[in-house]
Amino acid sequence: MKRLILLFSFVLASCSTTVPVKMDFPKAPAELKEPCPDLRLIEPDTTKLSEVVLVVAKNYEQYQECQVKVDSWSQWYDKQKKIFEQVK
Amino acid sequence: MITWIVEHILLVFPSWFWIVFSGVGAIIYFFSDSISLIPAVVPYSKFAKAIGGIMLLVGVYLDGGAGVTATWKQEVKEMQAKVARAEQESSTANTEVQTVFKEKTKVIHDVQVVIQEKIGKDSGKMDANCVLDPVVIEDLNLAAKGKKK
Repeated sequence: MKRLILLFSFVLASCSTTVPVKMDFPKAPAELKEPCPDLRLIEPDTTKLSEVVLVVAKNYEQYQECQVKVDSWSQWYDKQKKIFEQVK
Repeated sequence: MITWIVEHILLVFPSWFWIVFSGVGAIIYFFSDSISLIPAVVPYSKFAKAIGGIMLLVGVYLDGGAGVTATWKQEVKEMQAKVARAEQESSTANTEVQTVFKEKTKVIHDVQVVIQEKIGKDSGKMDANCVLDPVVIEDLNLAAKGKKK
């Protein structure tokens, strides 16, 4: 019996296989990696409403750009995850 | 180390070689007793049995190894093709996301340019009847910084 076990373990020893090919998770576009900037501040000595409105409008622009960036991140991740999971 | 040696041996010989090798081993092993009937070969019969047994074992082992290696190579090939296809799809998806991001950002910027021009034009009306107290600026800046007063 011992001899048989030894024989089978020897004969089956070459049956172990693992495929050494794998896909690395892709790198995200550099544009998406840039952090959102801080909101612009109004000059402390400003007394004009138009200057305040202008800074507020520029801050809205920054927010909208950041919103697009977050949406793009989400889309990028969903797409890449789907592709990545196909390779299994 | 053993795997490395086995893989190199398998590369040298064709897969059918191991079937023939183990077959020859089996013949030697099973007929070694019959050889002992010939007086001149008697001293070699036990030696031949051992060699035949080893040849049979090694042949079966390496034939199995050759089969597994062939399957394994096929799997590697399929996986490599799959990965190459996925990398291409991934690159296309990256480009799509980048393009949409750039287009949307450009639209936001273009709209803001128009709005800021309008603010510039309307500044006279805005500033004519309104003088801001410094506390307005202070409060707005605090809100922008996101810190407590």
